[in-house]
Amino acid sequence: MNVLQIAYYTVLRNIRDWKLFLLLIGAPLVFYLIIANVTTNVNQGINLEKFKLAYFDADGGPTAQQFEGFLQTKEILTAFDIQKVDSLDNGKQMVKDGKIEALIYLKNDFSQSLKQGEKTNIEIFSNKSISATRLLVEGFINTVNTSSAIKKIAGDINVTEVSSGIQQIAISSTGKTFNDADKSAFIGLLEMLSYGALLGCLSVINSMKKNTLLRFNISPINDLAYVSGQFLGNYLTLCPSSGLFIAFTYFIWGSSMQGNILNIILTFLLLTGIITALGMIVGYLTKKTGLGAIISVCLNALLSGAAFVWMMGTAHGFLKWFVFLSPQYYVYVIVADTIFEGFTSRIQVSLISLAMAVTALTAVTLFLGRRKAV
Amino acid sequence: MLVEVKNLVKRYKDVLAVDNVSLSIEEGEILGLLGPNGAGKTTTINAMIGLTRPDSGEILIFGKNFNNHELEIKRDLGVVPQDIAIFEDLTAYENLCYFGKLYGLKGSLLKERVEEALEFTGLLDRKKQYPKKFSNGMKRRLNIACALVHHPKLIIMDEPTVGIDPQSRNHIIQSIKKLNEMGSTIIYISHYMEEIEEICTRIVIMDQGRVIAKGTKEELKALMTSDERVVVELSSANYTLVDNIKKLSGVKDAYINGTELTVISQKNSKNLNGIIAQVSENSEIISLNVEQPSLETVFLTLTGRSLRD
Ligand SMILES: Nc1ncnc2c1ncn2[C@@H]1O[C@H](COP(=O)(O)OP(=O)(O)O)[C@@H](O)[C@H]1O
Ligand SMILES: [Mg+2]
Repeated sequence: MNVLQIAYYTVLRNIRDWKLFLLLIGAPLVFYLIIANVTTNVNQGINLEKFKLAYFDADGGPTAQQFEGFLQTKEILTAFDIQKVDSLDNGKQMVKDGKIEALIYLKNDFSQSLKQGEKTNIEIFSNKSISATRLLVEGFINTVNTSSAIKKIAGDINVTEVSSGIQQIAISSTGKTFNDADKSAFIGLLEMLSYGALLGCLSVINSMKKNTLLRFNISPINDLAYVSGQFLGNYLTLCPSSGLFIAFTYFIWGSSMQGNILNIILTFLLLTGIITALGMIVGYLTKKTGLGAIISVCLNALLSGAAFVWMMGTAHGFLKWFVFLSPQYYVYVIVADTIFEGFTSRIQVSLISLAMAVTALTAVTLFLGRRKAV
Repeated sequence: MLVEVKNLVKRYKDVLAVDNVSLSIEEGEILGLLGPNGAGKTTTINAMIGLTRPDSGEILIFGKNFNNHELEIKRDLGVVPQDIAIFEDLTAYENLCYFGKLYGLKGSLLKERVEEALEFTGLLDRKKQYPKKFSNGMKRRLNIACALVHHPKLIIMDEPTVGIDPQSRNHIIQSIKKLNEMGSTIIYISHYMEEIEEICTRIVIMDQGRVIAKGTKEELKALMTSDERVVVELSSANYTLVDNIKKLSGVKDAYINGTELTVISQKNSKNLNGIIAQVSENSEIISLNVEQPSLETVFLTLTGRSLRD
């Protein structure tokens, strides 16, 4: 019973620290609204100039024709200004001259290779790597990927560099995935959520510094109950932010989840536990507000950062290894796989990893808390 | 015997904070623990309530040992810490509820006890307010109230009146007397000897980690050198007066300093009438002061230092 009482008053005090609470709830909320707005705009093509695009079809086979047909659909034409060019060189010249943003090139054995189940490429040439251009092209490719025409492509969608004036764009690997904008938004949100670690950290340091700790030490309660109550209280305080995140995820990608919202909820409940525990551990170990806050923020930036570079496919060396310690990475994997019908096994493994992390970190928190509380 | 401390020793690195302290408290007493800052008072009670582990010595509270009966002892213990220990972000009422719940109080009993503690410390009309807005005296009173909610058998108060206005101090002193009348045993720690003299039935004086004297007020004063001192301020003074006074019974010494006459007599010589008669023959008495030994002088005598240094 004591645990719940302590949790109750911990929540009460956390909430009354309204500046911190506002930061934890308000900041993500504003951020979500902005992101949601931007994402919607991108999807509907509102307020954006039409994107000038050309394609050269050296193939002319059935799949290529299907693809051409796809380019002429209403949805595509609202966002893209598409023209056909009669040679690869012409197209490249137009990219160089800035007349078009990108050129899509279907090789002459495109349909044939597909038919024989071989790997094949769609090549894209563009001068720009700025995100808007990349996003639209990439989103476009992703859309194409989901359509039946290209679904059978076994190989990667490669980007080939030909002329020195034309810059190569890296386009993500294996078909269905988040586009870059969504990735950035997603990791931004995750990172914001992870700053909740500050709450646990500050709360713990605060109560260690306070004379009031003495009252707990002299009262007939178990110190494990005291620490557990604090953990629960901090956890519950962070739940509204996680709730917002779940709601946001559902709002943006809910239609693709096929009723798997439970996965997402479970994921965020686990992540919240990890964040709470990490914050409290940092608090117990540093015992100083300033140092604790800095370490919480850096740790969070490192873990989210590792997940981010991994998502973008630019993780190397240390980070590539480090990513397996990053809860944000597992959250990303689960959300991405849930939305884009990824491997169920990978979702399960990630959930188990998160659960193991929560268990271990909570144990450490309770252990440290018990030792520091007396 | 409600509390028994035997040969308590606590050392912090090279500081011997508590040096072989023994003391005991009977039920119903107000025991005063007096001593200058750094005397080891807080360390002694911290060892008693289980906050610090003593290096050696034995402590029995309610006849029980802390190692085997920690929770039982804690349940009947109320502590007013030296440093104010309240949550500034909880109202006075919430503070008391929180700490009351730690002792297993709930429901209507909790409510009743909280109201009672607020009433007792004169904070009832402030119960909805946050201590942030309280004066220091009010914070001190809330600090005391927090220790009373669960009706402890033994209340330990560590310098509960430091840095507050005389009115609040008076309120606190009166409420301690009332608590004692209602049946609580109290250990009252202070470096203000006036307070200790006013409320305590028995006194332990500590200095530099050691108990240097203990007993009732009267017993302690009896420890004093048996001198009484009378200081008289006169309109005019002459030396024949000094000679005459020296002839009075019990007078050990007399001297004049300007217009101020000092007479030192043996204890209980009851010669004040004689002194006044002699003095008023030749001049007018402007003021007269009989110095009785106080705890301050007891301390001064025992240590050669003043309490307030
Ligand atoms: N936690 C501690 N660490 C080191 N020294 C301490 C600690 N607590 C008290 N002391 C030292 O022990 C001595 C007694 O302190 P204390 O019991 O607080 O005295 P009092 O309460 O009588 O003012 C002091 O010299 C103080 O500096
Ligand atoms: Mg002290």
